[in-house]
Amino acid sequence: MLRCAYSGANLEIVARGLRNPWDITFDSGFNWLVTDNDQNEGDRNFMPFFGARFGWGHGWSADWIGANHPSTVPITLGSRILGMAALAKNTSIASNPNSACRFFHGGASECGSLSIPDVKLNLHHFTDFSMTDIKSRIYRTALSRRRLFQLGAAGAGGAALQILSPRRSHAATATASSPATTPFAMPLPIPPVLQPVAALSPAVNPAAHQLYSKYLPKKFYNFSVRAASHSFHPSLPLQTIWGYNGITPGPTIHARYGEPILARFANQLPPDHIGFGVPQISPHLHNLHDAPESDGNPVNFFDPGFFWDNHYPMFVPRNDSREALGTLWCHDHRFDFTAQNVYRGLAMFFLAFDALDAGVEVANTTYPDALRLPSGPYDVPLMLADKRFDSKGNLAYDVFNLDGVLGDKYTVNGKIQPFFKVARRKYRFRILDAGPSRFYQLHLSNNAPFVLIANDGNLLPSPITVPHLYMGVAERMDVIIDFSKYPLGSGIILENRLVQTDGRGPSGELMVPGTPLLKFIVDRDAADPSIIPANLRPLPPITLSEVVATRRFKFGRTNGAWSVNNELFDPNRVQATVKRGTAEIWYFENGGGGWHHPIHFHHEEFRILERNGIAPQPIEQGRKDVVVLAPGEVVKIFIRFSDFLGKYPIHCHNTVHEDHAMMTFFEVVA
Amino acid sequence: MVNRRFIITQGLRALSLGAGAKALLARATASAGGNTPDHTGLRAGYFPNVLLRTHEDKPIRFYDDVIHGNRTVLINFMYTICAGKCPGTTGNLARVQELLGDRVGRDVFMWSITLDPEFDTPSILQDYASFHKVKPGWQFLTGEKDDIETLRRKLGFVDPDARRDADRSNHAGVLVYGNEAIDRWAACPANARPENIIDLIDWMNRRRTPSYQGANRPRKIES
Repeated sequence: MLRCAYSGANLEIVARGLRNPWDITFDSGFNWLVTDNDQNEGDRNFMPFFGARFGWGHGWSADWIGANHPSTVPITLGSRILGMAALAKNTSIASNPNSACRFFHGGASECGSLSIPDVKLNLHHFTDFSMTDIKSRIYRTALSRRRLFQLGAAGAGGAALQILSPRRSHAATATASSPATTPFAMPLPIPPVLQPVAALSPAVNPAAHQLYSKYLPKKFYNFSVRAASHSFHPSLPLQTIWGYNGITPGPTIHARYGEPILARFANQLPPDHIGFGVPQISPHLHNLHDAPESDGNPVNFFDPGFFWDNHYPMFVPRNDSREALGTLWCHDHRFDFTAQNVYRGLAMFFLAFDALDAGVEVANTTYPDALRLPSGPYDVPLMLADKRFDSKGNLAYDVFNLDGVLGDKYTVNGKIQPFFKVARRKYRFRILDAGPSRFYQLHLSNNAPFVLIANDGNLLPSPITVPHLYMGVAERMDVIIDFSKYPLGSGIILENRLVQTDGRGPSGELMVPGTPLLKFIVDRDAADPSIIPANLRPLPPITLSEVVATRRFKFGRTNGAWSVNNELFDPNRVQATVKRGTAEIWYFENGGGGWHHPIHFHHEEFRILERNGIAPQPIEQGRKDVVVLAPGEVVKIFIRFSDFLGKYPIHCHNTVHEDHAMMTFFEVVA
Repeated sequence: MVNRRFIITQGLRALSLGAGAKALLARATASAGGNTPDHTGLRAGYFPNVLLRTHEDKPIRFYDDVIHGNRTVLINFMYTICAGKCPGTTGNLARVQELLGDRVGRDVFMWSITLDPEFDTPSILQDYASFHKVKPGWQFLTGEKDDIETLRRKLGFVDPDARRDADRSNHAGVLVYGNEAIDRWAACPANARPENIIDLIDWMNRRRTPSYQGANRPRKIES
């Protein structure tokens, strides 16, 4: 271990004799701990100090105890991590119940958690992160401000971190930048609300759908899934996209609980298509409570020339109106090509309304309990999707990028950096990260906060004022922004301040100002009968006595292929068979390696009981269907299963990861 | 007095390019016309036409002979000597070949490229292929180290972390499958169940439809 001054001068050796040091962390006193891979003996933890020698000689020797490898530190094991190193081949380290640390398997896949007095940190690959990132991770585990300052002060003064500057290999398939485009060149499109049709011909086959006769459709929708021309920006040529009804985003469905829907999807994509995307589709409504045969199962895809009916019964699970959903989205889910097909444009919004989230700003006799949130033209969905274009301005997708595809052109509702003229009143924005892989941290350019009312489409018990929104792929955040305090002519930009250049995940660094996504231009006055109520939707209780099983799903990587509990994806196998009418506790664990995974499963919402052993923050105490796991993180969730039988997927929603194939199935049985 | 030439050579060694930078350079020079393809197809500008040798010690050009054409190709990376945990992918792919029967070499072609070209010469690959009872239509390839590095990156067999990327076992578990004529490319685990791998390639080519889960079925659109 070396250290030097900030400028690089005065390079000196601090400690030596490690074989393969590969990770570090810091405790609350800014003492540093290092793990050293000892080949076949497993890994050990050290706390290096100036002048320490840990015994591995110079040159590659297979045996590292003995006279050639004198050490300066004695060996002590015990319940605390002392400034000592365990040198001898002592396999009892790993099994010593008094040992405060769990040992890590060398190299790539697993990180455990290191218990340090007072602070519980997950061991990340800090060699890849900046101090900002370390701080942000520590912050997520609710470390006190005083400790943050201690860490910050020590970091700035000490040169330790200078040795550990981020090491990133060059991007595997470094993609060229898109042509330049002027921001705010066109207005934000608001996808049209789709009108239902009177009937479908040929008629629906009731036998194909569970619970069909109990929830006879009251509304019918007919979708033509087809290729069409689309303009992302005036200075780019028209592009061929794939869209529900030929537009991207597709039209929005306004649905209401108690009004079951039958949606027919006709695949009219070009059968002889060449290029990224495959003209086979499986439309998935994320995350409606519906039957597997209407759920867009990844292996239920169909060819051009065929149609498929999805039954959306629009009832609340367990007869509990507290389980109502809100902002959903429908996107393609064709196995192994989901990322490509969604990138081509197959995504749209589906908004569920009920007695509370009624879609009216004034209570009336039909909706006496309406929350009176901003509605109608003041209830605006925003689909964020980053794209990349080649030198000719054509939409490009790197099919050989298996880590995560990042675009450099930020679209909102299908347009690159549009503007949106707003009135001086409240708006509800339903923000969706439609991927393919990017994480966002959204801020307003004037640093005004957001009023968060729903997470993953589920109304929170009460609004929460937040300074920013951190979003992974497929998460939705509903916020209210009140423009009434801004004078006419004001411009406020919704921007992304999260730096991400690596498909694996963000670095943790923030950039200010951020990348502009959408510019709000305040240009008129308008009446505003809407309110922000103090209470939104109460949460259903978590009753642990209903829990019949506990399971663990560990998301990892084996020789470069994704695995769940060390199993590769097999559409004929389920990893969990759950009983309808029961509840379970599941642990989702990110096996580490620098990968960030937004984990998702179909059919039911869940409650986060713990994140890394600690109760979740208020913004994720409600019902969710996507949970972002940073490397090494573990969440403990509570789920109930009701109504429908069959197989549903659990998968990472970085669409590039779910293809190839970070996925498994669970099955609900009677 | 220090030998000036010594300092210069040591200095140059310190400046030697890392694997990532070398690969970028290799890709740049390759696409700058180092090996002009005989055929021009959708991926002619993307894949370099580097010279490789098969396990039968025949020379082939990567773009012309592996990529180009209207057929399904399966490409993975392997190495013959593994210390410790072996990925076992060649054995799994042998089962895929067995199930595909005489389609391999007709409309499906299998290619395994070594990650250890300095050790895995054609004759070593020949022994390895014989050991795994590899039949015609599936070839093992070796070549210049830098060329193989370039191919590996072009095909997406990389880990963004430099340390993990240098560990070749991290590139042995993925299978890329595709068809240049329709420019359709995807990937799956190389150790996935052989029947699943065949499903994936048949679904991609629309040779078969999946077995649907549940009672719902697609129906033909009547014009």
